[in-house]
Amino acid sequence: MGQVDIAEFLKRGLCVLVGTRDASLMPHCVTGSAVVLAGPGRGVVFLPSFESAPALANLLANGGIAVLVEEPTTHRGIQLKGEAAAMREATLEELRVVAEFVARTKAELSAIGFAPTVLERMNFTPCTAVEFTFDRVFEQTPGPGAGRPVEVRA
Amino acid sequence: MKLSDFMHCFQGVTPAGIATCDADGTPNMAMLSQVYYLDEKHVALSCQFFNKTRRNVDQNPFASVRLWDPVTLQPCLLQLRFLRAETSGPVFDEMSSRIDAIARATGMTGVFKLISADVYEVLSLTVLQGALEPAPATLLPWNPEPRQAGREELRGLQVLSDRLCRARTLEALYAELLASMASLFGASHALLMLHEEDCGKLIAIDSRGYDRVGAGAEVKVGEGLVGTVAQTRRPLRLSGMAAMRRYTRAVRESAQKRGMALGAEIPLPGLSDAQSQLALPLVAHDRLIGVLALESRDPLAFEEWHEAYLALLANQAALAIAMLSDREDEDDDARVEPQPAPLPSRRRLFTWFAGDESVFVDGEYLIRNVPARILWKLLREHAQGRREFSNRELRMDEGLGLPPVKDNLESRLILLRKRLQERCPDVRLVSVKRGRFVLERDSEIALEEKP
Repeated sequence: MGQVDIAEFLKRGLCVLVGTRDASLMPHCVTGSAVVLAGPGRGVVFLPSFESAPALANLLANGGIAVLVEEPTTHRGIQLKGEAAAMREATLEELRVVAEFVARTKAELSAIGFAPTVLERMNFTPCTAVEFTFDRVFEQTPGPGAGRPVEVRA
Repeated sequence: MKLSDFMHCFQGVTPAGIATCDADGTPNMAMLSQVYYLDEKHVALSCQFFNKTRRNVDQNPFASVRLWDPVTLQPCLLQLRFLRAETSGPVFDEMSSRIDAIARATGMTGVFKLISADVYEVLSLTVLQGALEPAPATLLPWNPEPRQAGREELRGLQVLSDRLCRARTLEALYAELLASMASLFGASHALLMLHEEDCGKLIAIDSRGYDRVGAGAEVKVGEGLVGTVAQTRRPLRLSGMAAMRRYTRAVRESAQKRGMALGAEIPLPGLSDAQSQLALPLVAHDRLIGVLALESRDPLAFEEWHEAYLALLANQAALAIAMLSDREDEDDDARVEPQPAPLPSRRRLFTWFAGDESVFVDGEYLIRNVPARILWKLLREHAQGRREFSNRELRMDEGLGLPPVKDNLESRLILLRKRLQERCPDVRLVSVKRGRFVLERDSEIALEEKP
């Protein structure tokens, strides 16, 4: 089994995608503005308001959450799976962290050829903070190893 | 709003995200390199590794796919229902050809392989409003009035058709075809390769837009983009190649970590920084004539309609090449007197290597196989005082090894001319009449033979 240092990985420029599902097991995919660790097996993912309503409704109803973070220039990625614990407005301090995360994301997208005029238009805030716990982490880099569990390295 | 309004999202320039959910209700996220548009109600996803996404939709058929417009990054969301996994048929073949071409180009053959084309019904399409700030007026794309754009394309087709019909020689036809790709259709980099049936290869005959013509370059049928198109006889379009290279590199590294043996990464031919390629088979009378390959640095240079539209042109070009190749030589007894040769100012040494039937000039490779045999015959007879030659006599010469039918003689002579032009411009084969040419030289010619 491979190993991953999640805190280190989250310092990179990353794109965030979040999967939830409703009562009829219909999945739903939204983008995330940022992800941060809040302790061992605990994280906070920020969902931009323009599209978060269905995801928040799903999380309120059943809590199941999958958070994928991927580095666009290398496609290196991991997925955290667990349960949503709480939803609330992002604090001012969190919004500062989100802004830094988004700046790194945009720098990555710029490195693969997107123009500043295009990136400037992307909205990541305002956003809702979703606190979640995770007990499974998976390799998500495309290829034969995608989807295999990885061990979390502190 | 129609699915086809978002065709840019299906070019593979930006990856897509997919959410699925297993029977126990646990969601799963994954990235996709490309979503394939099938029709207004259906898309297909490539299953290359039997992964969690596929296992989930086998349990629970619903999926949620997020796509981004590669120009504006406007996201849209497709809610899907898995219908079936196809392992044969036109959709599978089309996707498989594309993936095989990518795999061959990146040394991923055998690893990067289509297991199935997974067909999904599109339940809903949502453009995610609010994801982007309003565009400044300067960023709004220019959108020509569709009827007018259609007329311009039809006009381009008519102009090229006219040019092909008027071409009296194969050389003129090749030149018109390649020049028209740039002037009429904006494809600034174009390469024409002809099929050599006897050796299972394609040989470059002429090109436009590259630093060098590359005449004589060879590709095996089945190798790379051009070879795949020759093998399948179907057009193949690759867009967003930078994204594709990043994706395959990630797969490659993942495969290597798992101890899989991979071939050397073969650089894609032509532009080192090509962002899109379109290769079209030239087929006439059920016979593969060659492949026309177009490249661009624009990741969205070739769209789906180009494939269909330029395939029409390719068909017409193939028929014109076949007809001109099959025309009987029209040489007669009325010989045209060539100009006297200029005085030799330098010396060129031609060497015939009998072992691999190749000709070198001043120690550098010039040409091999049939065109080399033709050149050697011309040079030897020229040394004995002859200057004028006919296609007919070449066809009659059994020692040259031309096939009795469909000998491609005219194209082989064009290739020979191009190679001489590139490597030894002071020796030329100049047409003086249909089916007749003279060997002109500005230098003294020395010949030697080696085993």
